[in-house]
Amino acid sequence: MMKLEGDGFQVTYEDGLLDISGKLSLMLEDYADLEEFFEKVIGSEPSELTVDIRDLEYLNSSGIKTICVGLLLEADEIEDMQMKILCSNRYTWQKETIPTFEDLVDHLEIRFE
Amino acid sequence: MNGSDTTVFGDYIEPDAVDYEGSLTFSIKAAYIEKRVVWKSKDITAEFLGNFWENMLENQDIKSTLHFVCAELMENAVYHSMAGDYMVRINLCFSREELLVYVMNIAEAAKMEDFKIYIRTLLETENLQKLFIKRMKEAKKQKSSKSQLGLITILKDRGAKLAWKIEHIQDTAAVTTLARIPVKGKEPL
Repeated sequence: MMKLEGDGFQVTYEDGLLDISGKLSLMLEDYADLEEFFEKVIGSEPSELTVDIRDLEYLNSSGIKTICVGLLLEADEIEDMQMKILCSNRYTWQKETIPTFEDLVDHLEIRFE
Repeated sequence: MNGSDTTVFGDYIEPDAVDYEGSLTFSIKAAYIEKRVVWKSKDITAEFLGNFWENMLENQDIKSTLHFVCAELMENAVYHSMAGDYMVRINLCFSREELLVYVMNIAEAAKMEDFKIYIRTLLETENLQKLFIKRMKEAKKQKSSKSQLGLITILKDRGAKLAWKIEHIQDTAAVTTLARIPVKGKEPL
């Protein structure tokens, strides 16, 4: 299992399951470690990638950019990779922002619970 | 003030022209404090403001919106402040229909032309979703570390309006960003 921990957040990856939790509000330049983490995840070319953000309480705009560019757009280049985002209705920001990712890549399933 | 010139963008209103029922001002002069420390206090402040007004207005949705708006505006203020004299002021006013968040910082006057172009793009664009997608694809292509997504997200996802006042004083500019968040307009999902 791969793991990245920082101030207030935790990211883990194992067998196609990427879990991001806590509060992500880093300075833009401090997202380099997370970008590198995403690179490794995509580099392993899983046939299916599930991003679980149900426990991601807060995400600032630099974090939105990192997920959109470093994860979704990069993964979109891998042929036949199925992508799914698991979201939670508990967080207003997720309901407002995550559905807008749908236009970004071709095959993205967004599921709220 | 002598030698100053002021430009206003969007639906800007001065705090003293608002018939507000409550207000809160918070100033940080952080010339000798490390940027990282300011960054941390920005999160604490934004979260406090969100909790404070959630309690005042008994509105759950306001907390998350206010937290995001305050944090993003303060992030911008921290990033674009002049080194050395680094003053960030945040002022919140609450009227019957809306919450007004003013964030002021001092920036280099030389950077204002590009900033004004960006402001006009934001205010004039009819499709923010399209602008968001375009920005993300450009960021990927150019391997750019800049996100320029904070203001777009405030407008696109958080239901707030933005306005600016830029006051030039010699070679500096006092930039006040105003976010207007409707209090009643947002129906529960």
